[in-house]
Amino acid sequence: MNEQYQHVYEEVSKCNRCGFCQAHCPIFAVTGSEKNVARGHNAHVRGLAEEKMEINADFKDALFECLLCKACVSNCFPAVRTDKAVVAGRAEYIKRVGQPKAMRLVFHTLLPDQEKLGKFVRLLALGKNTGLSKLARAMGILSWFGKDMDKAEGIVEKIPRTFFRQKVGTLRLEPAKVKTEVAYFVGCGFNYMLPHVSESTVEVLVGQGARVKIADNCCCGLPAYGYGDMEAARNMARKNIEALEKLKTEVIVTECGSCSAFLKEYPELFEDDQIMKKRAEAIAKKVKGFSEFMAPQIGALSANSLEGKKITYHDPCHMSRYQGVVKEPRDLIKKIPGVTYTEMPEADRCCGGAGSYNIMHYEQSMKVLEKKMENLKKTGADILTTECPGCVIQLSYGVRKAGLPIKVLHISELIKEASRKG
Amino acid sequence: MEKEHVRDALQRIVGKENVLWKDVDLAVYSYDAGLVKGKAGLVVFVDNSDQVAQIVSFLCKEGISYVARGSGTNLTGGTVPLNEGVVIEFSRMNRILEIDIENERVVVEPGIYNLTVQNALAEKGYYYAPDPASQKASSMGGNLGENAGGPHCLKYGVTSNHVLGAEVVLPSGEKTWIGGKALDAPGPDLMGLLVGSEGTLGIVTKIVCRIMRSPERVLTMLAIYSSVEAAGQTVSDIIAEGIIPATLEIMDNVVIRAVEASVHAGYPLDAEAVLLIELDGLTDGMDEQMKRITEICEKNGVVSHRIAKDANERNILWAGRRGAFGAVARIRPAYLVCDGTVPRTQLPKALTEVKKISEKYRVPIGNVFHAGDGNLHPLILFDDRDADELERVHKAGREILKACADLGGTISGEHGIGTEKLNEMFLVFKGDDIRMMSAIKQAVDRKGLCNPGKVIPAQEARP
Repeated sequence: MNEQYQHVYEEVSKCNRCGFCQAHCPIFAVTGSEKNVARGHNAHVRGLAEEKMEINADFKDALFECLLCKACVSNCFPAVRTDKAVVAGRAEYIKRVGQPKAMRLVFHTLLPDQEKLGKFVRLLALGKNTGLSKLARAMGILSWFGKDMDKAEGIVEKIPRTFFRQKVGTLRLEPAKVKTEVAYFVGCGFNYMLPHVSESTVEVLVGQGARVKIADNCCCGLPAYGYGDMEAARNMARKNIEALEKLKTEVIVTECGSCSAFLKEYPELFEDDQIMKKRAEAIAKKVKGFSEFMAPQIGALSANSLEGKKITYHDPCHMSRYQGVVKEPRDLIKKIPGVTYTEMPEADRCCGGAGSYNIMHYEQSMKVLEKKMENLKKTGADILTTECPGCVIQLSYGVRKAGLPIKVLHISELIKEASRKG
Repeated sequence: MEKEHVRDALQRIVGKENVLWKDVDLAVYSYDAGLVKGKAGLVVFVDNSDQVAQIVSFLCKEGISYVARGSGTNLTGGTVPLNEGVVIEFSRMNRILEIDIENERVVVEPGIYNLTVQNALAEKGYYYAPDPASQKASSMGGNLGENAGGPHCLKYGVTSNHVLGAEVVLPSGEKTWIGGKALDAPGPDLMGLLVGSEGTLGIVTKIVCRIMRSPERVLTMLAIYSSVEAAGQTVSDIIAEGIIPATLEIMDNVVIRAVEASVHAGYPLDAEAVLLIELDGLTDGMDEQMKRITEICEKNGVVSHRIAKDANERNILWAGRRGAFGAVARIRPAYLVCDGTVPRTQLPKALTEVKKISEKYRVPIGNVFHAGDGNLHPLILFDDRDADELERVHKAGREILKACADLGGTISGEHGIGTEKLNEMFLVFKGDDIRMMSAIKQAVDRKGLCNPGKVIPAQEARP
């Protein structure tokens, strides 16, 4: 028995190979290959755990082509946690087969450090916005990150000039009448790529009478966890727990579906450290996603420029299947007068963004996205909204590529517009 | 034969990326949804029938065995490759080629899921009758190979009653058509021979099926019982009354508890049995028929009953039944399903036998069955990591099938024989019949390369 898999062995042993997961896996729908579906993952991990198989470089595609969207888990009769099994496989893979140097740099040096990451993004932005990226591409720099990186470059349209954190000083964080106090966890996707969404979130929070304390957090650690780098994920979790504890608020809000999901899972990272686990639990209990926090308390909204618009919602995997937050965002949208909410077929089917999946596995990600766009077209919506930066970026790219006249907005932008007075 | 040479040749036919040859990738083609394990030599993804014909011709020339595979949701080893044979994988050959409403036919490729076809037909107000519980993931090609049934087969018959034609690649590599859109082909029923042959007589590459207009109305009732016998008696009484519902499905308490833990279908946890009765057809007279059924239920001491209010409620009730196999993993990690069938009147005796066998071998058994047509599915629950238990499970399984055969029944309702029940074939076939099967196989597949070692036992193996 390979100790590495202790925590998932019972899980994968419950897979009785019925194969129903084939009907739900977005990647299997694209490849039709057993190595990509939960039953195959469970068989691999069981083989590795029982030491009937040995990890080697050939496992790379099987292990890393999974979106971790959990569609299989939600539809599995014994609910086998294939997502955890895949991550366990990845963890052993990077330990035994190796981790690309660039990945190590990202997880151990850049993501834990706002400033370093900022500088790096700045450098990327310079390339991106000035055409230097062509040079970088020619030099093969982008391919450090994966074989599809250069093709994937168009996914991010433009990197903003000013990060959210640089604007904090100019923002109103104190409401006229303080009803409550919340910590705002700044997700990297918003800080560096979509700062206007963070601004919306803060504005809506303050508008609701919340004093907003900006957390001095780094990356939540999910990207590292997803790649099986537990050491890096724990390191970031520790930093963030410390940063959040300092703020001493009862509630921690983030409009990033991935961050909120992972913050809630922090306790699971510290099974071997009961003291840290307790601290993680205390933090996890306070975490609320944007719609989860807002839906029960938001008051009157007005349509403003949204008047007459048809709106649909895409469920981020980390909101729906990881947190079970499905009703709240829809409730929020339905509270806006003068708009129509229309449900998208398979609204909770993964868009293929999945963190950096669209960059690492561009071709497959695009095929997953095509299906999303087909479903989106069926809604006839004017606005597509969601609650995750990765989804916003991926869906915007999809709409742009397909030439659809549909606006993609984060739900906090939507609510900000609907909260505007007159 | 050098594996590299075969790989290169197959890659020339289907393209480099469509052949799997690394151990990691092959390992996940060594199983199906049952307990049989094998080992694949290579896996090749096909896109069209010409490729299949070229592949089969090549393998025939080289003397390499092969097996066609759709979704691998089969339960008795039918798609498990033996002797490191080549797996011809149809998961990407999954298009609907034609929906011909005027002639009430649909033409599909084998890799498509049964449910995908159903959904496409439903949009036009039609459906395809066979509805195996695995329909959302099992392929039409696999359904044909296994002669799949499903709850609705009580009224409408199994796959062989609904497949009218197929394009087939014969073991020689020759591509041909058997049957077609017309209702009946003259001469011996070749289509009937092919359906249920588990891919041992050729590989189907296009399938023509009969479709039917969706019923005007569907009524689904859930009846709760405090004993399996009472539920079973209700089934016999309904049929004796001359009523043939679309379905009559029973689940016992073991299965009910597993199902409820997983899909929340609304079955009461303390019920000893639930019976799912579905009527479909014309609106006229249906209420009267349901009233009569309700009276029969009451006569048999039904604890309670309710009718699904709408399609959504109906789907929830069915979700429980369809998820029954998968759900038992909540109790024990693995199961063996014994798909024996008995004449309907023998069901109570068969269930008593199952119970005795469960006690004798100290293995829990859950029962879910197509009560209307006497098709049992005792699920023997165990942990496949326990070698001793595994041995007892296999013994119990064999004994259940023997009990079914002894009661005048047979060893498979719809899951096929594969390799798992090869020996049990002798329980129901006596000699000349097996010789005839072997002779047909020999005539069609001279080199014995087309899914060898399945369905037909070697005469020498007779106990």
